Amino acid sequence: MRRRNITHVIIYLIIIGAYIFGVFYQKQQTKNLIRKISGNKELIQIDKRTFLSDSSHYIITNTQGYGGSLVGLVIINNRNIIQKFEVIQHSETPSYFKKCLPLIKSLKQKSLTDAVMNPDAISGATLSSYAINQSLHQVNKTDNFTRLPIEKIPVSTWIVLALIILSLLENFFRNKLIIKIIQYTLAGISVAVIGFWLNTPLSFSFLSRFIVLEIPPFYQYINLYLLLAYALISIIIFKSNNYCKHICPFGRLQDLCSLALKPTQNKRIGQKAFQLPSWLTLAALLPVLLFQTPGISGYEIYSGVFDFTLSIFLYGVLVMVVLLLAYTKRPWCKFFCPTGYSLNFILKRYQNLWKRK
Amino acid sequence: MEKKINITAWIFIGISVALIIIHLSSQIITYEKNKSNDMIFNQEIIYSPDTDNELFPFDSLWNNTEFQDQ
Repeated sequence: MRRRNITHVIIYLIIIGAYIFGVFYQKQQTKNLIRKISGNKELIQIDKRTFLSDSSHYIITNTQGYGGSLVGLVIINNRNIIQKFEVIQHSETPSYFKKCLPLIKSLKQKSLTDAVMNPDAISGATLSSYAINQSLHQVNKTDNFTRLPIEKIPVSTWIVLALIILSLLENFFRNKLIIKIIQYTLAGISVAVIGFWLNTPLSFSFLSRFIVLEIPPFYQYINLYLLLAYALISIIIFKSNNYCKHICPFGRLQDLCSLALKPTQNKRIGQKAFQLPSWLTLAALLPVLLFQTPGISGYEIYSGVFDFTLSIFLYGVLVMVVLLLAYTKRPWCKFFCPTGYSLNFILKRYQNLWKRK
Repeated sequence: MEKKINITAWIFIGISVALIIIHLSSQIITYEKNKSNDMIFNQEIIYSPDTDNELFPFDSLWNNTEFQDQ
């Protein structure tokens, strides 16, 4: 017991140390980069992403394009006119990104309000141009969230909402047949909609954005916000991890596979490997804290099934998970899933809190 | 029989863990590599509206073997 406590203390210290080091190191790196772009001017840091120099604001933005994060630097003067927009880092396909260069060029000397209110979209590079326009929204500190009219909420969001309501309903029924019907319906819709159609299951990369305080824009991630809210609410109200149990499309897909494969259910494997997800989650969390970049942490294999885009190593993991399905139910959730572990970690702490009270 | 099952299952789990760690390490290496490449881009202010972007600078950089080696 004492040894376990010491291990926990060491792990917490490593996490805190990595976070503090990451924040200071990345801050210095960003400052150096801006200094280089601004021609070695003296910079005063206002907040995490804003620097001031000679009455111009240098603002770092971070939005999502087609290929991942698009980090930009927007320079605006004290009359709110855009002096320069520069893309510092992006993961877009070069040929598509090339189409956005006229848009970037057109931003110079434009009023920030005008650029935000009348965004230009580039056909053929919609998501890249969207990311550029969102960068200006970040600078203007406007999030579409507050101005989102109800008729503009996408159909997919209504379906996700319906899934959540269906999952909530399951808690109130006692009839086994009704529960079974709800469960199969949930599994089918979740795999089809959140999996194959949207490919937006809750991921560790999404959760870790909150850890490094890079809050994702609400409107762009509305479905993920709904799922996260449901996961947390079910932990608080029902003291159960309902997201993993009922909604996670990959978990549900494993359930459906188990129906066909009928695994041997070797309980010993499950019990002994209980610590494995915690170490893997720690391995994924440390790079996030050190580099302050949430995208670096993802090792989930959902995309391999739902839209066939994975690294070669993760395809290997996917093959192993399929083989493990012959031995136990939900092997990914039991041994590897960082999202499930994170939610269970919150659940456990919450339950302990109640026990103490 | 159960022991045999256990060993096979554990081998699969071990391979998966090794692959996940390799994947995470490769992500970090790629991230660091991209960052140093971006620093090179920034020195030339490639995406800046100030520069004349009639020809996309990536094309020439991409064909440059020296750049590829980096």
